[in-house]
Amino acid sequence: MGKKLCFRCNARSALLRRPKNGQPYCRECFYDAFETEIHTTIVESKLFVPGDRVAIGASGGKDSTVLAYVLKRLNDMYNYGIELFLLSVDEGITGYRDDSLETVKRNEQAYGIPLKIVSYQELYGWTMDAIVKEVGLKNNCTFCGVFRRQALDRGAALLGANKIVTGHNADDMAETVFMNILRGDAPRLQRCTNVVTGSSDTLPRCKPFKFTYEKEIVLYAYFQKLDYFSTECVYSPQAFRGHARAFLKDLEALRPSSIVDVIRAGEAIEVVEEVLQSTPNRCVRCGYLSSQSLCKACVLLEGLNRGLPQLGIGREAMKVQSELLASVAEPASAHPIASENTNDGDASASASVKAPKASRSARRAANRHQPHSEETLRKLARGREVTHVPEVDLQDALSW
Amino acid sequence: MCSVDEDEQIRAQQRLDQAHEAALAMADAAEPPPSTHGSDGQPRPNGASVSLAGAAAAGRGGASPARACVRCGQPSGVKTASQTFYCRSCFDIVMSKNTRLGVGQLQAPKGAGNKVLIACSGGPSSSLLAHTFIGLLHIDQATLSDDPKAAAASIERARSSKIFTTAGLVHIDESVLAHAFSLDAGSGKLSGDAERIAIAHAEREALSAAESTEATIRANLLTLAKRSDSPEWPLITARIEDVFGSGLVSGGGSVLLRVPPVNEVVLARETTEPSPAELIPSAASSSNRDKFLTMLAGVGSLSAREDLVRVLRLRLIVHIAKSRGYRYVAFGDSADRIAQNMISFVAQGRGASLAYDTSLLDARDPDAILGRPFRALALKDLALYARWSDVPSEEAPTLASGINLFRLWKSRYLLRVQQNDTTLPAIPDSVTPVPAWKLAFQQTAAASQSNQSSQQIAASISTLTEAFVNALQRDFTGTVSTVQRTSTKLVAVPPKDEERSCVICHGPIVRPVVFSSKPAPTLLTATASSEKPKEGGCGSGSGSNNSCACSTEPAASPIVPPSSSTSSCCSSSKSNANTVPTQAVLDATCYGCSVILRDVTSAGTLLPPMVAQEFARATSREHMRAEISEYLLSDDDDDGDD
Ligand SMILES: [Zn+2]
Ligand SMILES: [Zn+2]
Ligand SMILES: [Zn+2]
Ligand SMILES: [Zn+2]
Ligand SMILES: [Zn+2]
Ligand SMILES: [Zn+2]
Repeated sequence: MGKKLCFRCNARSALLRRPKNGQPYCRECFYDAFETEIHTTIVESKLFVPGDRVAIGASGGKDSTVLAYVLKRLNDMYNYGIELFLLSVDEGITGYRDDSLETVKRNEQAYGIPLKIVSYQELYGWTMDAIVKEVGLKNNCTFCGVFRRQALDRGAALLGANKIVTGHNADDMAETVFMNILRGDAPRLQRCTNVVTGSSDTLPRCKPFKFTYEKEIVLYAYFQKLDYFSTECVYSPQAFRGHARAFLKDLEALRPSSIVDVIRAGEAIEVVEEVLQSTPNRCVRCGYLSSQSLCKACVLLEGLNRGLPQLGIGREAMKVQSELLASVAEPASAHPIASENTNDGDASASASVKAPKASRSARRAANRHQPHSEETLRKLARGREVTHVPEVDLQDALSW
Repeated sequence: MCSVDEDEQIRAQQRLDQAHEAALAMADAAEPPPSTHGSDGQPRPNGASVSLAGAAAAGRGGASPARACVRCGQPSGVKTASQTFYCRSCFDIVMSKNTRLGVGQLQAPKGAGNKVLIACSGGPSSSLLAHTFIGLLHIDQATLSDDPKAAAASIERARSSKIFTTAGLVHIDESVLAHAFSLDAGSGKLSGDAERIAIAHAEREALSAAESTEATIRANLLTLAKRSDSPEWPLITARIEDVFGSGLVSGGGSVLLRVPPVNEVVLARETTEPSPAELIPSAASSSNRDKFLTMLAGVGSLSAREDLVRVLRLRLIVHIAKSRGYRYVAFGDSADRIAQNMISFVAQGRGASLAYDTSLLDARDPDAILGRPFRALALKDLALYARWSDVPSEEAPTLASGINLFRLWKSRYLLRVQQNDTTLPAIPDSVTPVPAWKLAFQQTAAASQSNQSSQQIAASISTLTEAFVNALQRDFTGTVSTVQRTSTKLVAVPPKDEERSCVICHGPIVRPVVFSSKPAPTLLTATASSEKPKEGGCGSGSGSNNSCACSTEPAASPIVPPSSSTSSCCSSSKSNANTVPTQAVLDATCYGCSVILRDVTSAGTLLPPMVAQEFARATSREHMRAEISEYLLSDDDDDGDD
């Protein structure tokens, strides 16, 4: 391999091949192209207006670390006039969380972005460790999925933030498109390619990395020498999402533009309108947005606090409950490890300390709710005295 | 390993699946599906062969003989794709019902003399579809009266009570693709004479295999057609390269596609009285073949080549249907195929037309309604039922599988050549000038990095997807039916006005495709910006391709720069046969087809005249619209909404 010139400036010698298109780029041009594309996404989607207080869901992982760095840089460069915050969630998992939180704390120093850490203990009175002790490994994903989603919103509220940005990248989004097709989840298929999700009543979640390739994020972090906490991404080989991700990698190898093509296809897909349109309510207990009188977190907490974590009324209802809840949890959360990049700002990366033990239950969870449509869930729920009828769509739409 | 979860999963699914009789019996399946623990872990590129293998195994009675038939309680011999056990006769009954129900869903309006054209690839699914139609249209002669007049009347009555009155089969002969199997084998640096000889042998084998496969398919389809009691069942065969036929475009800038007179064009050969002698290839199609292969050669990736062939095949079938007055076209897409298409179309950017492409009925064009009556039935079950119903089937290889076959042959011949095998037949010296398309393939292969990949297994997005879906289906029974059901939740959004449908695939154009800015800023530069649709000038009048200058100059297009190749062609009289800016073409194509165009690497690549003509029409309409735009109130509003 001789010295190649940069494809873009044709002046400096190339340092890398861009994963997105295979072209040789010099360092400067790569930085510029990488940042400009994110800027374009932000501008074209009108993600920010001056005066916005923006909470960056920060796990210490690569996506959110690069996101914080780039947003800070773009905000300075283009005068977005927004105020940035780092927002981390401490689930209370001994040993694991400490390291990634240290990374976020260093980022706070390095980027000069104020950091807020909200803990499960503080928000719910329970740590994940305590929850696992109570419910076992089998169902803990239900809890961390529901709790994590609320935690970001609640933390953002504490910061007075009006927007949350997450580190979802293009790979995550494309993978989610496939997952929703594979699971038959039409409503999520419809909205999963939105750059902003959420309704007017809850904090919008923005994804400035919508078109940013995961490999380019790693390259950027590598060359910028950004300090992030890297987790081993261990997929259980049988898990659905693992298959989908592997497929996406194969596609990308065959045709690098595939990832964007999938997102573009996802954007163009229209699904039948959701049948149940219930009016948004607030949870009577905590005030969080919920279609029911009690939000999911409060239902789960109620069970925990009563010592009935399964909220079981007979075996069937128990199953129903856990299925409902499992399906409520964002798909990725079924697998705490697999959710590194796929959940709300990779705050999720956290839940994975017990990798080997968790994977089995996670696999089961993934198996279990993979093919369930809402129709099934409603059928299952119908006619039973369940304290909590699922409004999967609404809840999800609001909190994502 | 996780049998409980899987059973739960399966059972939950069953509850949804009430329409499917086979599903009902599953509720008590307590043992884990054996397929999950099967020994065949390796991915296989060809889904059809997997399913057929499974079907064959079941046919031998190898699958779980201990289980009782859920319908009659006799020992079962079949396990369906949804893990239901049947004895053979119950399986036949259930499948007969399901296939007829599928066709019954097509719901054609009564009394309109609906003719349906059945698109037959030769594979088990579409052949079974033809078989099903034959059964449905059958009129029992035994019940007819002896009086011929009364008999005719009762036949008439019986006919009019059917959904469709007459049917025909159409088959697209894609044996021309065999020329493309060797496309990157002869590129770049050949290691020597031995390899060249091996390639020549393999090419010969590929071509003769393709010919004999086609012959088998035609024979099979004729056998099927003859089983019909109606004398009006034609088998229409057309070659895929005939998308370049002049009969497919109108002559003088009319906006309508002209229906070609039956005998004038070589596009389709129709046989009502099946006889092999009538299936002789015509001389004119050799120039179409050159054009077709040159076009394929100009497309730089296997995925894009396959997708282009798929799109053009569909257009050819629709064209044939319309020109013969068939208002309906029925396809044999199984649930597995629908599921694979759901994934692979999305992977190739085809989201906007996904609802149409997977629907039971696609009635966008009221004159050519497309139906997929088997879209909810598993390929495995269809294949087994076809076998047991004595429905013959044979499938031609796809581009990807053909390339892999070719590589296998080549390596075998190479071995024999190196061992000085004297039993090898002599190969003709390559005295004839190398065809233009061959040079084009070599150029394309040399330009792309596909040289390195010639060692590996050739993969395209559709083969990847097929392997992916099949692997998932093995691990998670119900994957296919879940994905297939996802497709029923899609909404087909018609394009806001008809001009906004893609000139290549007729799919809706949701938003303009722009490669010059994000999300992929450099894609424009990576694209050959001069793929040049050609106005359908070649022999536009009479349909005789032989009179066209470019058919006698096959070397003109790929190597010569676009402008000069244009002037050397008889179509130079057309004003818009010039190079068209990439963006103008992109404006007239959907995202999915722009993905194909993005992979066009050769500057001289021509798209078929039918595409070119529509492009010319679309741009002139666009131009007109711009001129009168200030007077168009509603259109302006619509545009603003976009
Ligand atoms: Zn540069
Ligand atoms: Zn979890
Ligand atoms: Zn609450
Ligand atoms: Zn039986
Ligand atoms: Zn198109
Ligand atoms: Zn010509």
